[in-house]
Amino acid sequence: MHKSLSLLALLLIANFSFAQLTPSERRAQKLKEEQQNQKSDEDLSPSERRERKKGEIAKEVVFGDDDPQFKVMEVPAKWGKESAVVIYQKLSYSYLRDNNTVHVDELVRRRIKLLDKAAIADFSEFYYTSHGNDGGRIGIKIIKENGSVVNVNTNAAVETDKDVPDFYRSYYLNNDKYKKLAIPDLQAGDIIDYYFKTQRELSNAMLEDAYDPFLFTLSQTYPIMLQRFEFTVDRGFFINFNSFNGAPALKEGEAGTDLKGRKRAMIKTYELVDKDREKISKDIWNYPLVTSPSVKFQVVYESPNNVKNANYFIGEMGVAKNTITPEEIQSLVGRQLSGVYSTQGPEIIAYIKKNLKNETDPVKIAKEAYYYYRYSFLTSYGYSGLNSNLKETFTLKGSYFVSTLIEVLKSKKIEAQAIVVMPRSLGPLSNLLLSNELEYGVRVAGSKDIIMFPFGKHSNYDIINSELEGTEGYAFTPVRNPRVFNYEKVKIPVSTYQQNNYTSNFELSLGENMESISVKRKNTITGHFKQNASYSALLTHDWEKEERKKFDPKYKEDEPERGNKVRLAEEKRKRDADKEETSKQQKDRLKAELEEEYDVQSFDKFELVESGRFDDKPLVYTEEFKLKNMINKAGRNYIFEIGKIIGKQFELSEKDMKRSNDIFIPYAKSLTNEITVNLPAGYTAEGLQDLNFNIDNPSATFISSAKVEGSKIVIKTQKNYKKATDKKENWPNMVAMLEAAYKFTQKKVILKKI
Amino acid sequence: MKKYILSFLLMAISIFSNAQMPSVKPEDAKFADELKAKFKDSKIAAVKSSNEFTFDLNTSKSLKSPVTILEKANDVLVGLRDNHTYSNVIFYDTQSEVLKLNAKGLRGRPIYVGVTHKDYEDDGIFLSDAKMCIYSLPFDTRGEKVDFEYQKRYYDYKYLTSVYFHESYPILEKKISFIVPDWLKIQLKEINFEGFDIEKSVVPDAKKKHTTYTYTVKNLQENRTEPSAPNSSKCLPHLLVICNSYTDKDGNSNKLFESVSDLYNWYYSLVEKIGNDDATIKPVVAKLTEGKKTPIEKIESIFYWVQENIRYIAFENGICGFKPESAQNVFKNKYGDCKGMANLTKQMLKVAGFDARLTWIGTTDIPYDYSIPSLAVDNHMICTLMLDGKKYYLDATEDYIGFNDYAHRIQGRPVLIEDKDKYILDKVPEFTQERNKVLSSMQLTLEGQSLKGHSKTIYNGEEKTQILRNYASIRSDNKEESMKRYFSSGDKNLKLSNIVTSNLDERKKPLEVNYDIEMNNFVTEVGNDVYITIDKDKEFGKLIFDSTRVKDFTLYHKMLIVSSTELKIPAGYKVDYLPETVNKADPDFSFNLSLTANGDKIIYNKRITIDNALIKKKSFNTWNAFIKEVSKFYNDQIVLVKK
Repeated sequence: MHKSLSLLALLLIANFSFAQLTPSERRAQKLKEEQQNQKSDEDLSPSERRERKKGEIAKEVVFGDDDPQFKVMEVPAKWGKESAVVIYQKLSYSYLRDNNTVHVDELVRRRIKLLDKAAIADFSEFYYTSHGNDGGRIGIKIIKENGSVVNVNTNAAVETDKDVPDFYRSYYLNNDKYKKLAIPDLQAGDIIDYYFKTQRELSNAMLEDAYDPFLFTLSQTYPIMLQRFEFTVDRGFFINFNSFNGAPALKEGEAGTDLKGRKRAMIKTYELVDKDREKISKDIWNYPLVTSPSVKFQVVYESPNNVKNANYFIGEMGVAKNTITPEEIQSLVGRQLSGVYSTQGPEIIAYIKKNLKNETDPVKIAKEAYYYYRYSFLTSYGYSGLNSNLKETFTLKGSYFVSTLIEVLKSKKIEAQAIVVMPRSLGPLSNLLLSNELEYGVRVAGSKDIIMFPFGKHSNYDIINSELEGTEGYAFTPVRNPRVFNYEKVKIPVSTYQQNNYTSNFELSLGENMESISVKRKNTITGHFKQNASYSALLTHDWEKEERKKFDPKYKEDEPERGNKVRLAEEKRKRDADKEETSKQQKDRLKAELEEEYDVQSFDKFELVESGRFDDKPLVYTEEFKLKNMINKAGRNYIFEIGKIIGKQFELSEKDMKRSNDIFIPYAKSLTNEITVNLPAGYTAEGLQDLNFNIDNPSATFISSAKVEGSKIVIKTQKNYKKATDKKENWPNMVAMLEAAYKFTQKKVILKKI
Repeated sequence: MKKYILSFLLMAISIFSNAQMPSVKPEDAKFADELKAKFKDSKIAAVKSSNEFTFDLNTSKSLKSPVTILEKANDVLVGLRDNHTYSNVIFYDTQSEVLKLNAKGLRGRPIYVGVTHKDYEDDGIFLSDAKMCIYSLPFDTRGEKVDFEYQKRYYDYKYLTSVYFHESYPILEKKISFIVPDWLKIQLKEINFEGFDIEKSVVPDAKKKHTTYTYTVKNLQENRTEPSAPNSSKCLPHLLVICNSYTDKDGNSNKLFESVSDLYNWYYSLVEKIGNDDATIKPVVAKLTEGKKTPIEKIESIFYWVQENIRYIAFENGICGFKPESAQNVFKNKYGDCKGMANLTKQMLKVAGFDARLTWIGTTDIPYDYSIPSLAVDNHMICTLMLDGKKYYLDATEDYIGFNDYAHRIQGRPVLIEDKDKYILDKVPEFTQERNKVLSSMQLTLEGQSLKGHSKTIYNGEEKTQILRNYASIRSDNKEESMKRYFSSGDKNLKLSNIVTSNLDERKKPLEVNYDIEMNNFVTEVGNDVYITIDKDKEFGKLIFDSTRVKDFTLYHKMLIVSSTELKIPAGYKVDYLPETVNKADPDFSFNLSLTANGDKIIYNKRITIDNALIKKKSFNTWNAFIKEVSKFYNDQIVLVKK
């Protein structure tokens, strides 16, 4: 959401300035730009000359760094087969103030040895982070193998909207402006030594804020011989920093220099030095911030008299804060929730008051409030105005959800608590450092405590975002400026593989000529599977009807209201046209999904049996389709690639067999197939014994059975991923299951004429 | 303290559009529903679409071109769906401008046109001056009509090369007209008109001193993008616009693009401005040719050096789209576009004492030849070498291509060769599919449920250069794994080991690849019977053309696949059944697949040709029928039975 909006804003701004110019002005400007690129010193105006001079000086200063690592020419033999090796990278960030401005400066210098053609290709089209005018803010030199140095002219760099390769992306979040440049004269064996600077100046009015957070792993695209991160922070700023999973600690250095170059005791410097770092692992099902050495860092400015009210975790000025106490969490959340309330609030309260007048069970009330909140939001003008992508993928903002629900429950004299946790991809709660790592939920005590997190379009109150399952957090009653800390440690329950189940019942009929197979399939879907499947299976008309019936029984869409008949007729026509259109799109989407698994001849029918909109029901739908290319002639008989009916399975490559990181699957899950094949009259099936697999271990299951019953083949398969998180030592268990499932898909039976 | 003032709920409300009263007359609604039934996938259609071109003598001193052109486009669009926002792009560049986008609705009600301008970024082109004017039009209710217009000004007549009839929506009536003043001589070349009922009218107007040429066509389907379709210029009807000459105010006739010599003269005027300087090149050429005895050895040394050391980066920025970069700059940068690379090749060869020339060429994407003096005729530049009365074409952008070998995309294409104030016209030689032959042999034995054995494949021509190029582009730490994946086509059932290749830098000889192979899940054992499929590649087995496809299907190059596989029959087994031979031939493609038993071996021979790198729409039925047989053969089984 945020990103797309800022992109839109950028587009509008770009367009605006563009549109200001007449055609001839634009041509003139273009010409000027072209000339500028080739201007010699005499052609420049005094101010341009000053800028260029400044740039030249900056270049001399940066490249004049006498750090010996910037003179290294060779890379260790163990990395000789890599594509490129970073000899040294030094990244400096400073946050300095003068009278009315904050200067956030970034200086990145890298020295990289290019070892093969792929690296030459990667660096010939070069990208760098850019803010504003680049005069002197970028310098590139190439060091040839014989030691000669080529300075690269950087005047021809242009802005790009293309997806920038990972290597060139900044270490902090929220940067979306890059420039690109073609780099001349690169050969394998060359060293590219470059730097770029970004400078942002923010007025003091903007001070009260946190600067872009850094969340990164020390391992990157290429191996790194030495890397150094330097931070210079002026008085008045607060720093949060910690390193994890064996990453080196941040060390405080000597006093730093201010904008005028004077050494000042109150300016702190910090540094992290890391050596001999292998490139990043490409394991599947990995959370790099959890498994590999990583760093979190953020600078926050807060005026001294507002420290108590800050929206961030703030420590002592001038001391890098590296842990967050539960008291701090409770205080911060209390502040963030106060004064925040959804427009839907009063409506939910009214609904609960009216419809659950005599209900006293807090859990029942909370559940109903959740679903009414979801309904009320999904039928609001706000929702219908969202773009089609956001309509599907939104999740309500946590602070709104929590404070509104607490308020609603309060109206029934139920005291609900706020819950805060950190997604498991960011590490355990002890790694919490930045306020935006937190996710907010609600806990309601009752016969059985329930925990709810903000809803999305197809969420259920009891299906918690799988990123949050199993995480630890705190529960408390949020108040602004708490005097007593009543937090309680909580653990978010983990759903079991049985709870997240996808069952498909197939009935297959083989045609007379064996060319295609007619399939009737019934899917019964629960748990985490449900939300994803709902995007394809549920049409707005279907769930809207169901929910209106439940929450607003008086609402009748098709009955004429009072009013202009022509308008009503037109509205009905539009609704019907939309239904027709969306159900056609749905069929296309389901067919496309099916085509990812099978060779589909036709998709014929879809029927929703059960929407699963509410927690106690699964999503159930039936489909009818025809498949092709599964049966072929085999001499006088037919060979039936029956294993393919369970759909495509994960294909592990040889490389995937080895694993260096623990395993993080989005959620534990089970997939059940019950398949009946009606054999054509006069045929029997042979070779079914190959379809029997029996892998069952603490991590995973693949059990299958196949037999002939009368004129039918009956097959059952059960595939379980038993744990969402597992140790790397258990990877062979997963491999055994994945390999068995793949093998199953390759099995064939012979259909023989009796 | 600050609060979150705006939740996204609040923001969302502001972009919500209100429900409206029906704004469509019943007859318009009915009409739209009829169109929707006819054009099922279209969201809008044009009742009328017209483009009118007028020509002006340039009076502005800031422009170099004597003739400028104004295009007025006008479409009456009708929405076939409710709540649809139609978006489209008008391309322009530094030589043109999009102006006056305007839309009106019912009874002339002005409609807001959303417009954004953006630089066009293409994956293949590093820097270009192409820009996009992206506009969007709202269609709230089906049947709603929008009268949309815009103008495009071409500041130089040269850059209006072609005008197409098709749009991304169906058009009931399309009109393209040119109001040609008497002072201008123009040629409108009709391309790909066959199969379309395009009417032409010519109406002179003595009073206004102009002639109006109008082309009208009815009921055009929307132009759909189809995978592997030929370039639009090869399959869609269009007009090439060639301004031949004009008469100025003093009554003097001035040439524009009257014949190929005018086109050449303009190109050559740019070539004369290149300013090649041999100083930096000389020592390298000396080094490259040192000790080389024959002229061909010297030429190869230079040609291959450019391929290896100059990286292709495309620049299409203004005049840089036509003027080659100087040889010394390309040499210094170690990168260039086709023109820069051709120019460096030429200059290095000249320094080495050879007669080398810049050469303009249109690749196989382009259907025109040099009888047409237009910038649309070519899209590429190479270097021609004159040696002993023979011409050799050197395209250094083709990594790993050998001397006297030509990539498919330039084969058979007309060339315009530099010859000072004259020019030479010729054609690049064309090869048959033999050039790209893939010849493989495999010996297999049945071991348990696997087929095991050895494979040897020899790759030629385009098939070879493709592999060499891919191999070079893979990161060193990933090369081995990628090789395995490449030669097993990513099939998990194929396990390759002991891969041995001939030199992966060798341009002149074919590439030979040997490996041991284990094929799993190709064998099914049931009782006394063993069922075996033997083909691991099954080329084209699933390429079936949908009846809705409109355009021909192109391949990267001509193909010839020849393979022979021997399967040893295990002791104690005999052949019970072999699939029936398939022999199918069409002028553009053929399939010969046969399995025969020979002593204790089964021999599988396969020969597939794609003779012209093209499967024509009119052959789709034949192709589909062939593939049905071929696929049946591929999937049929060899049946062995215990003796």
